[in-house]
Amino acid sequence: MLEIKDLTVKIEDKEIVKDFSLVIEEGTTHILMGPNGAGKSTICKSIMHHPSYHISGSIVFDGEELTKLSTDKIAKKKINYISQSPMEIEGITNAELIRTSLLEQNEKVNIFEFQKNSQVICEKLNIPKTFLHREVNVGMSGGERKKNELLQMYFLQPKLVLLDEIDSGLDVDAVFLVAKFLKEYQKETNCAYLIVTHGQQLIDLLQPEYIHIMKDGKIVETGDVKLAKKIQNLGFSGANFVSEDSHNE
Amino acid sequence: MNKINWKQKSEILEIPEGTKEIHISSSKMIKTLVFPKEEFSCTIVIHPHVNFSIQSLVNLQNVKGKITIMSTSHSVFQCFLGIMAKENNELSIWNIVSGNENESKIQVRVVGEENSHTIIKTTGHLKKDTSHNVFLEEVKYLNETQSFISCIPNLFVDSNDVTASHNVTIGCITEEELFYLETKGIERNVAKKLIRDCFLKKEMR
Repeated sequence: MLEIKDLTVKIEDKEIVKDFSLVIEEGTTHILMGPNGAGKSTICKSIMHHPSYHISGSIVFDGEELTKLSTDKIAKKKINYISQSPMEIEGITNAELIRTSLLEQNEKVNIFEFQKNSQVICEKLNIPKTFLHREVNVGMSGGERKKNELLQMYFLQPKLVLLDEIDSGLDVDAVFLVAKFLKEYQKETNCAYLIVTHGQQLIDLLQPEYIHIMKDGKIVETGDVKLAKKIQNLGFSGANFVSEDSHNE
Repeated sequence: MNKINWKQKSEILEIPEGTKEIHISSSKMIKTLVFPKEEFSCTIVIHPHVNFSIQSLVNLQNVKGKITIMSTSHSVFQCFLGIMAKENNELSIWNIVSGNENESKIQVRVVGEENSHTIIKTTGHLKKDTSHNVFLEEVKYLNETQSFISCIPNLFVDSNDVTASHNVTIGCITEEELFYLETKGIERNVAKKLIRDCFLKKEMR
């Protein structure tokens, strides 16, 4: 589904990610962990071809190279990105955004189905149905913004979802709700997740297949949920991860 | 045609060329406002106890004119204009409050098309010996593309018993906003148009 190979990302002259490689298969959940500044968010934004980043290496999704595509074309391949602090877009309602996005993807919008689905999804996310008619993330709390992004995500029906700290700003009950929502959506669509998180609760609830630890812009260790437990007990410094570069030195 | 009494039930107010005065003697809401093609200067008189509201998207193209709204007493005037400006325009909106207990709210949003040149003046004049009036004017414009927009808010207050405010805000479309919309699969130019359209319509919601 997604294959990232030897990805190097620079912002101006500063190297944020170096020789990063990762393969994601459909239906799987990958967690990206690491100390602050390790380059986790940069990976998500690089997949979406953020204009500030200079990228080398390759990112292939369903057989197509993404690094040469514009952001909207990448999104149209059914990749959805939810940032750690979703933007407020004044004046544009969620319904307008979703409708425009679907029309851009040449998908017909059935208003009755849209209404029916929106009721179900809003109930699942425990948000009022009026969210659809509110301006995108305007005046919403951190937790509400995350739920709002998930609401949009559902209507856009992605095959790969990049979630950057989806659990930050959420209370304990909301993390339960979000995890349940993500699991149900994955069961329904067989989509894949790449999730950046520091939260053990989300990991415990999702039981992901892979945990990757990032340090200095690359993956230094990959494991399963036991690896996350190790981090929880020892911390990143205590677990003493060493990159291949350090071995060679 | 110099003076007309506007009694039509239509939600469209198309100011006829040469009109000097329009009298609004019953409450109404205008959803489409059309300015004359020739240079104009027109006064709209809102009669006492009348609620007059304009909520319109306006395409300005080579419009030059002045529209003066006279608030008499116990009237409500609400004006929400979303202006898409093309070519060269100079529009002046005056609200003269000459009696007591009037409420006026003028909110204008402007977007300029490439190479357009637009001057918008909004002026509130609260006359002497009036009381219990509320006046608000607010102009917002999106500064993008190669357009020139100048917004000049004026407020003349000759009365001590008034609540009045005015402001102008300049905004722009940021790269982060565009990136956000692009991550939702919306092409860059469509995203810009969506932001512009929604910006103009916002006060009308």
